[in-house]
Amino acid sequence: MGGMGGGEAVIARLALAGLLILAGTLKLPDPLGFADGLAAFHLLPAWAITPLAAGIPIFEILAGGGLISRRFRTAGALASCGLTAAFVVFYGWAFLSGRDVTCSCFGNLELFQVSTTTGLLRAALLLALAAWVAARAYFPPANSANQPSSGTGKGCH
Amino acid sequence: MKQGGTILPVLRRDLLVIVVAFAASLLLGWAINILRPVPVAFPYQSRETRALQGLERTEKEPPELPLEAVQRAVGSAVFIDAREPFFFEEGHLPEAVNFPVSAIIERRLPSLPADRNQRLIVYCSGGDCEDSRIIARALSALGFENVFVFRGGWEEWVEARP
Repeated sequence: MGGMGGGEAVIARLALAGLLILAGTLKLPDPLGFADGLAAFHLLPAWAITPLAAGIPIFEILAGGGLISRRFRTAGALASCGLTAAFVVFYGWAFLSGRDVTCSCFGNLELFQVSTTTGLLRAALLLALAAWVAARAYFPPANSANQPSSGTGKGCH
Repeated sequence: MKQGGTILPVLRRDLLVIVVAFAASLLLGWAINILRPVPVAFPYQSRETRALQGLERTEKEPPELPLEAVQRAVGSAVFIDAREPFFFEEGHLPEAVNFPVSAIIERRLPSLPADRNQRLIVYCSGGDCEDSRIIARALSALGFENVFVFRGGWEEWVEARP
């Protein structure tokens, strides 16, 4: 093991990957619900909502898969930053507009239906996690056990 | 990625991967959507459009009521809460009936008064929320003659509480 630093990074990366794959998987069966959620933010034109509602869940799954893989780990980390940043912007806009919005970001399960404020906090926390994971992916500690270019290193699994 | 090396080449590669993956996701998502039994319409149709499809359309906008009139109507009018059940369960006006837009889209009508002259006051969260107007128009289309909208909604009701 590469010490606590390597272990924490692996756990964070896998947790983020799991969340992205879960979010994408839960949205896939109900693109209309997600489309309504995107429309509720009043930020996107009508022509953009349908393709994004259909495509974002797949992109989330791919980003999660990238985080798990070795080859596309940094790309997955960067994509997760983009996704979470976008939802911070969306929820932030809804918060400032005084709207109650549920984006169905984790499908339509009641467990994941949250208020605008909670949604904004959730998105911000996920962005912070994604940013930390991306920083560790692009700038791994100067520790031979954590060199991703060599494959794994002892600290990565 | 080597320690001390520039990340720019890696970043460029990753951005290219992301663009390709995003484009592929949009294409694949589009293909899956087309194959669905009920695809999401393109361009996107708003919930209001879908809710009022098949109902007799009325151009008349439902009249609005201020907070004071709504407060006086407690006990005589039926309040209709147009928010989704999650928000309704967190709190609602006295004896309100939950009737979100999703219910009318799916034609799952709640228990509504039998008297079509019963005064109905529809509200949602307030602010820019349009769901109350959508439900009010749907109720008018369903034959209710006495439908009003409380534009201030739940937010204004809560702020006015002692």
